[in-house]
Amino acid sequence: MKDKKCDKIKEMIMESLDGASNAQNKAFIDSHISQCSGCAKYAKDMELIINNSKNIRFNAPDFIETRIMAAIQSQNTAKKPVFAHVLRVGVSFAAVVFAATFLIYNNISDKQHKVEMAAVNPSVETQKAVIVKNDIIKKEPVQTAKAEEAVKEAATVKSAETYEKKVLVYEYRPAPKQETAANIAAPVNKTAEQPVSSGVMAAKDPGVEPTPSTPLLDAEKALVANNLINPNLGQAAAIKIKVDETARVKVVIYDKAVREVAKLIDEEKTPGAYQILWYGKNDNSEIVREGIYFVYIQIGKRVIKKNIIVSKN
Amino acid sequence: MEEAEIISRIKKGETALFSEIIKQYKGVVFGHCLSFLRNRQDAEDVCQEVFVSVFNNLKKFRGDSKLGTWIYRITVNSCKNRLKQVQRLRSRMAEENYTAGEDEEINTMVNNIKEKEENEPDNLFVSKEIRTAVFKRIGELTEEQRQVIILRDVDGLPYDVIGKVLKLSVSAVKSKLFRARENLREKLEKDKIL
Repeated sequence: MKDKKCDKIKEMIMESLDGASNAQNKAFIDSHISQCSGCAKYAKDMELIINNSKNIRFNAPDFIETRIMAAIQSQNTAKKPVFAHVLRVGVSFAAVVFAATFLIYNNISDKQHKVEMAAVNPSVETQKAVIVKNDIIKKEPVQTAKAEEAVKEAATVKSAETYEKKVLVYEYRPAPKQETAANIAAPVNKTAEQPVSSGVMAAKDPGVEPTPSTPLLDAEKALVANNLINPNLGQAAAIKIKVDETARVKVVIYDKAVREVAKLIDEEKTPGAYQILWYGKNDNSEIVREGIYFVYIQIGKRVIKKNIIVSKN
Repeated sequence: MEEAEIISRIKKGETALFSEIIKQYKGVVFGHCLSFLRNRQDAEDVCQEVFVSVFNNLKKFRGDSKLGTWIYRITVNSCKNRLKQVQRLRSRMAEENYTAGEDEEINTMVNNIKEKEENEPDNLFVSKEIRTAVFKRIGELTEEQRQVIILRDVDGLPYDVIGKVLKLSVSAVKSKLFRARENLREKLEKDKIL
């Protein structure tokens, strides 16, 4: 009986603390808690919780307003008039249909012409056939050469892409605490010429250089410097991590739908500080869509999640 | 300038005026996002998403409810969606038996909880240590309980507005709030804060 009464009093205490109680109820509560130590403690605890919750305040970052207005303006400039889009699509479609019709018509008329000529003068056909054959023979080397060039180009592009896709890791030893940021910058530049781990390639990409001046805080194991990138301009996000003891390091990029986009690194690393650049490309070396991407950084058994925004404006 | 006038001018094309709405609501929206998501980057992203969504849908806003209530509804839904994404990400990595590195982030966040205002009287019941503990344990509540306690105690919304935001009756809101505070109290008792 006492418990039921106390349960009811607890609800009334809650309402009273929320300012939703009248004077009569408050008097009833006061008289009860003067006799019931459990409810008195309950009232005191609830007052503590509510008062402290009310005092939880965070300042919005100063840049948030600029960032929001920039996002709104970029989406407005990206929108194109619907009519222009429809017109563009229509014209492209008409051009394709016209070209196809032209080619087919040409093909048919050629064949018809040959048949007519063969019927009139067989020798002419043979001569034409020879001429045609010679033309074909002549054309082939040119085509082959062109094709070869195209293949070469594709090969160089592909190898360049594969080249770029490879994870770029700068390895440098953690600097002693006395060193300044300027001194920390120097070893990074030196090791750029002598990459340490296997599978590391020197960067030729003219995109954003890593920012060694952004130090890894002692309290943070990972951070993403330059987390707003435009892959079309060759920009890269610099993922900086700090490994305290030899552990498996895995960095994976996921899209908004939580689909794996790119696995940047998945290997064991010795203690030290590392930096991984992501150029906004997936595992197939294709530039990803605009939007927000989640970076999951696993160091040993700890996982830290960061965000990267890809923008093409 | 009144809110209704600002909205009507924005609808007519004066998009630059939208910054007035951002200035007015960015604090509460960001605070809510950070309290709920407990990750600064996610909170900034969701805050941006909320305002972009508000801008894009302002034409559909008829003024049936207050602008603040409408913005809160968008904020709550956006936070829920982001939390689902984060949970899906975590479940993908779960096979690695990881432990989320969130403790560092929360510690950094609670260090940034504002000190009391200068004009606030000394209150024996309020201290940074207790606020820190309360903030940490709010993160351990269920999504629904977390939502209602943040809206009521952190954001200071009245019951009827919370009901409109969460699409619940006032009695349902009170009931959920009661459970949330009880759970919070149990956790703080275990911490020996209470």
